[in-house]
Amino acid sequence: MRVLVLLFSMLLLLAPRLSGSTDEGFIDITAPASRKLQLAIAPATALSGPVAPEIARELAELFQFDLGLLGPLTVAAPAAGVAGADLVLKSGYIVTESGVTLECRLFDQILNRELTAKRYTGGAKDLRRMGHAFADEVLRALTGQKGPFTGKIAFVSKRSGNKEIFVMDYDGHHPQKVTNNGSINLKPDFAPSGKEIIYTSYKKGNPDLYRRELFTGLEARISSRPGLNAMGSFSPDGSRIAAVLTKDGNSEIYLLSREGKELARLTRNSAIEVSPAWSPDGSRIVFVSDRLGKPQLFIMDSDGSNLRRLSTSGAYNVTPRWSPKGDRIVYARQGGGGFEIYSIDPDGSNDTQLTSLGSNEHPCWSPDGRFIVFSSTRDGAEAIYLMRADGSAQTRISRSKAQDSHPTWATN
Amino acid sequence: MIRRRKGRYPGPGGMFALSFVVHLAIFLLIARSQLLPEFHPDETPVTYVDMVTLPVASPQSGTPAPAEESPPTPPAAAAPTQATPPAAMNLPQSKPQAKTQNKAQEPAAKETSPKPAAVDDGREFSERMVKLERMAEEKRQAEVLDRLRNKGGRVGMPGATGTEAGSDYSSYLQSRLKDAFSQVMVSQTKSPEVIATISVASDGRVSYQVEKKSGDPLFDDAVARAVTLAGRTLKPPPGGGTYKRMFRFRPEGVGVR
Repeated sequence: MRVLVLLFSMLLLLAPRLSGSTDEGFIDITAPASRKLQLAIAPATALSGPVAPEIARELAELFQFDLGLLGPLTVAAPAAGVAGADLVLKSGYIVTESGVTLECRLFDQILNRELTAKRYTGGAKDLRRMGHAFADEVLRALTGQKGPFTGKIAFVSKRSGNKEIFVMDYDGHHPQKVTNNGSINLKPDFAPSGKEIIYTSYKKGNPDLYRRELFTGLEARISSRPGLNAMGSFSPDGSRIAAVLTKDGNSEIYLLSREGKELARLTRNSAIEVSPAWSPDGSRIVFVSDRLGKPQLFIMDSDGSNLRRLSTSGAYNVTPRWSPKGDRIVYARQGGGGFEIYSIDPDGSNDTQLTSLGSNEHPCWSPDGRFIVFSSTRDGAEAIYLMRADGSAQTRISRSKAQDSHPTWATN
Repeated sequence: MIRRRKGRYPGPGGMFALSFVVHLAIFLLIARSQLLPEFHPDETPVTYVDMVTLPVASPQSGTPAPAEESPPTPPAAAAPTQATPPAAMNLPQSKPQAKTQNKAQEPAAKETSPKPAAVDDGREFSERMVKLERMAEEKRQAEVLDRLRNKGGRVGMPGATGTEAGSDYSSYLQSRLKDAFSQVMVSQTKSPEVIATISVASDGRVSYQVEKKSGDPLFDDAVARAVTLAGRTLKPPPGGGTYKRMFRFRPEGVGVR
């Protein structure tokens, strides 16, 4: 007995030492976490040939916008100089009759080494795309992650009078009309390849589902069943489409092939079920159902089984989108006369409000999950905005005074 | 027939005493290893190092200056409204001021005339006291410095075991790394942590090896920048030796982002 007591007391005395043993031998170095990397942009110079100040100015603005949005970087304008910056981005260009060559380099001034260097060649109209490509490259060099800056955003706009599908650069430049049928076109969604979209159009009277190749303009009506054919959403592998059909008298979610063949009916309920969105691994689908009286978010397996409720706060939750990393779901919640954007963990925790100005709807993730693009009425007419995933840096990107909505961000 | 050796059994009291001695010995052994002060990496002993390296403040600061060293005060007639608060508040300075005023009013021949005995005695006394105080302070400082120089063992930070050469160097390096890390810190994850072994050669060159990455490339690079930045102005370890120690780099606070 005495031996046991002795051993017990020895264990008690040794316990603190054993529990703290993982920290032993380290000397802690800490620093405030709020600091950002200081990136200086050196003025672009002509490597040879004519000097083009407009190219230098456009590149500086582009790099400031792209890299400033990232979050961990503070980007200084070329006029500020490069002294004292952690990183320096240098660029040079050659303007010829056939186009532009752009050479960009990123230096680490403290480690005294070049982190990345790229040369791009293209037409004069490709200059911004080259700049966005290098912004992606900067992000890859610093974080190892692929950037979203060369991705396109498809959206619905009334800038031509009626609701047509447009595509623009992620920062709002180069808007291009995709549909031109004079009818109502809604809810575009990119295929994972980024080369084609599906959307709903009333151009033949009924709201039918169309698939269109962006580069060739080839188009196919993939679902023209009686009633609504809408809210198509490509699966992550691009082989299937989750869509809302009312052919059986009630709004239900179905699985279609790329060609529009019905593969499965996922919901079977007297309530309205809409807005399907895939998880990044394709195993689950989040959608909206009013089976409990008010529109709420639900999650089911991609075969329709294992249904569970996701949102428990708010009386009216709609348009969910699953983040590319799978860790968050963004959606719009009605309240106070308009909608606000929220994000929530797939297990229903950490429900967080991201917007508070105007009415904000139709959120969609950037391909890397860093940003959320959405439409907002904060400046009057509905326009396209983007923000970081935590709700910071909310920035307007659409430049038209006409109504722009339903943005969706393509992989590049 | 078995004989019992009763003489060896000390009885219940003896057994109790034996048990007490054994327990006490074990307790002392454990207490020695547990309760004695030990180095704790979370302590920030930088203050001590800086106190040694910073110049000691002048022991004369704050004491009234001797009358001879005080700058000549302008005649009272020249600046009647100019107030001199130290002169008004400080008793020892009031007498030299009176003397200066006399000097201004009387011709130079009067300077050689003997001063009143009471004034002279008071001045000499205060001068002697100041001199004695200064000597005592200088002696005390010399003794302290001598003690520090001759101390072979516990010259480290408070609470340190301090017997190893370079225990102060850890504090110095920690201070330099912390300064550098504050200048280059950046992260994009919630609580990144890098563990690295940092070596300083006898010529002051720094090298480091990452033992555990954070999974956040931005943070990993920030650590590399901090080590590089600190290494630019680093002094070599004392005694011409080398230095090697593990450091853990973290953002400040819990769940910082």
